[in-house]
Amino acid sequence: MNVSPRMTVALTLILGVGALAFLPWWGTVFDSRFPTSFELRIVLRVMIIAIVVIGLNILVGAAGLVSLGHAALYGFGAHVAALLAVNAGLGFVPGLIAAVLGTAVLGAILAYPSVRVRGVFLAVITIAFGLVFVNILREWVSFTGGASGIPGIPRGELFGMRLSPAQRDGFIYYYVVLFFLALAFALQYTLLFSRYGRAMRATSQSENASRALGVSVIRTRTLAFVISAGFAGLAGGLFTYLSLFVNYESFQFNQSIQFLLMTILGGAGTLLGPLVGAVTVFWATVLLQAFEEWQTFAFGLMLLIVLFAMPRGIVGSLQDLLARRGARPRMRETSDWPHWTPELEAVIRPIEGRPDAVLKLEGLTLRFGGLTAVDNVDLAARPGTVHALIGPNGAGKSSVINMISGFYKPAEGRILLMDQDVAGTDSAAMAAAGVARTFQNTELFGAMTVLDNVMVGFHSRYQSGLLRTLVRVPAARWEEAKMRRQALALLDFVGLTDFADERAGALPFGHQRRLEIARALALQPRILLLDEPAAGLTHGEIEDLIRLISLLAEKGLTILLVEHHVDMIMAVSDHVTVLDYGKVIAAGTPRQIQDDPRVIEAYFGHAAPGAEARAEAAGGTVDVSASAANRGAAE
Amino acid sequence: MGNNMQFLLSGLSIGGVYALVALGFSMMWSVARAANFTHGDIFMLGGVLTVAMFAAGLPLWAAAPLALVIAMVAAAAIERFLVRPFNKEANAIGWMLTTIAIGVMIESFATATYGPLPRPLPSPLAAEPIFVAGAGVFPQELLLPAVAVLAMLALYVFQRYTRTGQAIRAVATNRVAAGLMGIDADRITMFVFAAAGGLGALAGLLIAPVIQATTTMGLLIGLKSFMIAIISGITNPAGVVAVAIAFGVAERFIEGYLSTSARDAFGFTLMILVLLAFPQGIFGRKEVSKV
Amino acid sequence: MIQTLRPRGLGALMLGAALATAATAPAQAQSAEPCIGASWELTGALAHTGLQIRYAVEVALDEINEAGGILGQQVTLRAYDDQGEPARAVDNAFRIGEQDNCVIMIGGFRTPNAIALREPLDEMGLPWMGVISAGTRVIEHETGENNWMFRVSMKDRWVAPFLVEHAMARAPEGRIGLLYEATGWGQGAVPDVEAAMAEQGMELVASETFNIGDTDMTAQLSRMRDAGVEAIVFYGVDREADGVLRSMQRIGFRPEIVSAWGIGGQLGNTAGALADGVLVAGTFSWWGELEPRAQAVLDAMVERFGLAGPQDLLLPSGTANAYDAIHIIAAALEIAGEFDREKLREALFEVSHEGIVANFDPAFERTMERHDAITPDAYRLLAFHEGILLPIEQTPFGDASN
Repeated sequence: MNVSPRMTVALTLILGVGALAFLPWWGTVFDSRFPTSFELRIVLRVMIIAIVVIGLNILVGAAGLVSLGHAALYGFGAHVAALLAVNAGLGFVPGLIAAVLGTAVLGAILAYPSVRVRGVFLAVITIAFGLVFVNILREWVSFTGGASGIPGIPRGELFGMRLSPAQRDGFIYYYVVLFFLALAFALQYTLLFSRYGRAMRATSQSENASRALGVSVIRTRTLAFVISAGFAGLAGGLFTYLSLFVNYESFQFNQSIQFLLMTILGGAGTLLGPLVGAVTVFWATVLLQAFEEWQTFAFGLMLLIVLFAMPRGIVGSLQDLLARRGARPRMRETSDWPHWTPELEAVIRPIEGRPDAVLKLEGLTLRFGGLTAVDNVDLAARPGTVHALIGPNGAGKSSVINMISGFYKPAEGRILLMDQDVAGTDSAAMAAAGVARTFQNTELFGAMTVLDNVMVGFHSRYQSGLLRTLVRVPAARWEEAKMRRQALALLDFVGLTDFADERAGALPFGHQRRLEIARALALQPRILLLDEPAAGLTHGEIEDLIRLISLLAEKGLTILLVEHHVDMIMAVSDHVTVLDYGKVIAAGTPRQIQDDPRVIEAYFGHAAPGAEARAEAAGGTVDVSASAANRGAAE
Repeated sequence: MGNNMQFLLSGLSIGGVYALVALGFSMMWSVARAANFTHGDIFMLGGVLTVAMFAAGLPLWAAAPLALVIAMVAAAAIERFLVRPFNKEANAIGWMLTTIAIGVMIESFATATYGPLPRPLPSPLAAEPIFVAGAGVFPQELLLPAVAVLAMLALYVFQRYTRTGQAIRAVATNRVAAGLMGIDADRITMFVFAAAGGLGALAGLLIAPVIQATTTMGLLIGLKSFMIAIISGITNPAGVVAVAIAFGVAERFIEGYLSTSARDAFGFTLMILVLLAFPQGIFGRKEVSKV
Repeated sequence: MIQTLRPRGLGALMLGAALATAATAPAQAQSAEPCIGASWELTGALAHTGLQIRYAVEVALDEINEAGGILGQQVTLRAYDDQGEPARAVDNAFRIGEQDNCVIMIGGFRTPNAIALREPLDEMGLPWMGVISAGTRVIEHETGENNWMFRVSMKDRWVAPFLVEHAMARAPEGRIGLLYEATGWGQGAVPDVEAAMAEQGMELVASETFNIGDTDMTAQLSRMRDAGVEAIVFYGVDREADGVLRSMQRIGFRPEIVSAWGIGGQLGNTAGALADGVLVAGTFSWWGELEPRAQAVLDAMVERFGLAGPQDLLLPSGTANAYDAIHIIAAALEIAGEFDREKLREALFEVSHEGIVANFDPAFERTMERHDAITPDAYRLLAFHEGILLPIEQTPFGDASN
């Protein structure tokens, strides 16, 4: 059972639109009373609501954010269209455009400040906004008609046709709404399966990794909310021209909850989920009328049952079921790595020109409260070399990496990337400028595929903007295909080709490290920061890793390596800088460092005398972290 | 100045309600990083159950504690069956939906059986107002902020001086580490939810004689209290109580000096602005992002 | 006799295209079915409004059906919940008018839900009969044309002068304040009350509003007290009225209260003695001495729905209106001679009927204004006395009136 998303969308569009387009004429063709304008109205209402839910699905399913104020956004769109029609005599098309744009702008205003902190804050802001919105609608009687609302909205017209859903008008409005639903559904697909959709999913799974790959968390989340709001505004405008009457009662908190339920119930993040969710919930509210005063109780109960039985929603759970039944257990083959292929020439390239240092740190200092974690550090990484940064735990190595990659703001000093001072630049911008990194504790996008993980790394290298991506102009499709080829080449490079469609979270640990390196390389970095890449790897894997690093340096990439593993440092580094208590205590070639008494003092000075002996007993592989005093602090 | 005094006293009363409900949110959030989203319905149960049992012939001294116990059991059950299984991942939102669902069911069940109309609860403290500097207030109303502050102080004492209280603090600080130290984090969490439910229900039954108990009284109070908890820095109980009471007073002054109709618009806009200015909440500590 | 149908065909539709279940009904309805549709609230904070109107509608239909039905056919009620939301009221209207194909629809409590029905009713050609929602705009459309909407209830434009007149009679200096809920009904009444004041050559000295669910009205009442209000014209329902009375007690300010009919019997239960002397406009009271026919209706409702007595009829006027409305519809259908909506509408202008609220002679006239069956001369003033809402003549508060 392997239906590709593209097939799903094509089939749904052809069959669904076909069936829905025929529906109004069923009665004429088969000479029956069905469907009456009641059934058609219900279908119309569900179609409009489904547009809101598709928008919400982008927010919840992809970006992992919750909105409990979507009814208000929907209502905002409805009121923009209604007020413009009544007060300014604006017609259907301009009214609809204004509804979409107005609501999108409002979405930006709401989201941009609130997504800085944590997802739940956006939920709170949206609740508050929803209540303010209804309050204003109700109280600003002279403008919105207060609770009595805005009646008598003139029916829309398009090319001289009266936009009514009645049979005598050829059900024209029904088809208008159907058109917009199909459009929304198609856009959902192009968005979710584009770099923007991947970026949204990435931010919901790991903010740090997203930032490290040049994906701005704030911008991505804001974008998700803006698009989601735009969909809500569109649906609102369509609602206005269906009902020709709006008042606040249709846009209250419980409606927001219903939208969210539709999203979750259908299956957040799935393509068909919003449609299934909207139909199921709306239909349920119609059916449950039989329970009279108990209907809301029955509604809650139904919801609970579904949440228990299908935690991933109807579509999500069915997909899981099909996948489980259809999947034959398959051994995936790990291939040898590093595996250099000519395609990689396009991704891993030496730096243009020959600057004497790709990265230079001058007097870099970081303080946490009163504690100076990094103290006046100088360092210069020359092009095409491997520069190791070592020191006991708590020496400030990771803090240096975090400053270079923009996660921490240095208190003092300069970070020169290709001779430009970039100290204090935001991490996503640093990544886009060519600083790639891995994490001590791997930070993969666990629920995304191995291939998609690498594709996120390409995010900042795309040329096509949002509009071109959504419309899928040929250039955008070509670009996507190119990035995909390069991503596969990178997977091939680290020997994970056979795992491309596997969930990244399901990979064995060693493979996760490889994937993280491949993903970082996707940035086409000027410098690659590796934060303890050997930790947790087997002996054989470390050998492979050493060859990988050497190969990358040979191909002209500059690498800054934080590592405890002495053999590895000796094998790959061209230059070593040693930190202790945040200060540089030694620098030079690996040989020089090895014999430096200050270094030995730093590592072994405060440790038990047996440390060296134990290290030797371990077969010459000195894992210095095991013997170093654990100082804990800033790392 | 009678008016100002009036706004202050009325504000203290509603602020006390917010404080007790928000305190519950704060407690739940601290240990679980989740909450009963429809905690407002537990508040409602406190009032409605007391009224219903009192109307069924139970004396008040029995009806009120019984209502509290039922609400606490309900809150504990919600934690056990609806929050815990749906709060496994870091950014899970399942708990939000399950508790919304149970909230819908509780409110609907109550409306269908108790009726949609408000019903009175007699209290000697709500029969005649007392007058302070030209402003009138029912003694019952002043109970609320007093109880809220007492509850907050009791919480501090409890967390500092009892084993269970220390366990709560341990779970709130680091759930995994607490587990390693032999603390049953799940039981502690359930206990905290029950306690939070008790405070919410207490607010409901204390305010019932003043506002009449209805089955729909929980929704808005619950939402507002949750937002108050968030903007004040949800894990700081003293901050939550202080902000809640201040917010109640501010609402009354907005009503008094600006406009009754704009109360919520102003109030919620204020909340949004505060959150923009203090992303961690007014009394919240910044969480150091660990890379 | 409530029959709530499953939406036939909808399920099939959800499967993509109706396969088998649909398409059984005969082609093109020639005439409507003998049923009366209803859309009102059955859930939420105003759930009791739908349930209460139903008492009277069911009892009236029982009487009619036991006497042989209308045109020899038994008539059913199909009631749907609109959850207070206009869009759902419209959904229900289409269900009633198209799927159920009922001959007429009756409405519930909320004014916006009635206003939202204008277009759909026109489109379907479905008569609609209001029994509570009193907004002026429900019947008197800005377009000057109202083909399908009728009402057996009060009308705010007529209620306002009635309230103002009685308030003025109790305010020696004519200092009247308006206190109203922020709903379509409350807000819609403001211009009506202002016009009624102007007619008396006066102006409101205060105008204050509150939200549904508010319990503390001290801010509004303090301002009214400072403005020297002697009598308050009130638009609101029981729950908030209780808040008003308690807030008045708190600030020691108790002007006369003359209320529109949002206040029903429940205020007496919650506020007790505090409610004494609150005056309420209405069309009917089930307390006190009733004429035999009304007594029989009360007995039937008590018996059928297990009520304790008139204290359980929380919308006394609304239930009485609904009872009369059903009989007016039945009489009109007999005149129409068949279950046909167009003919029913025409017949509504022919009907005369002696109801329990008033003698409707004729029930409706062709001017838009008189799509309202109850005229101001049938309005009555009721008063709370010892927790019970009685006709004012049966209370000690009658003397104050001129």
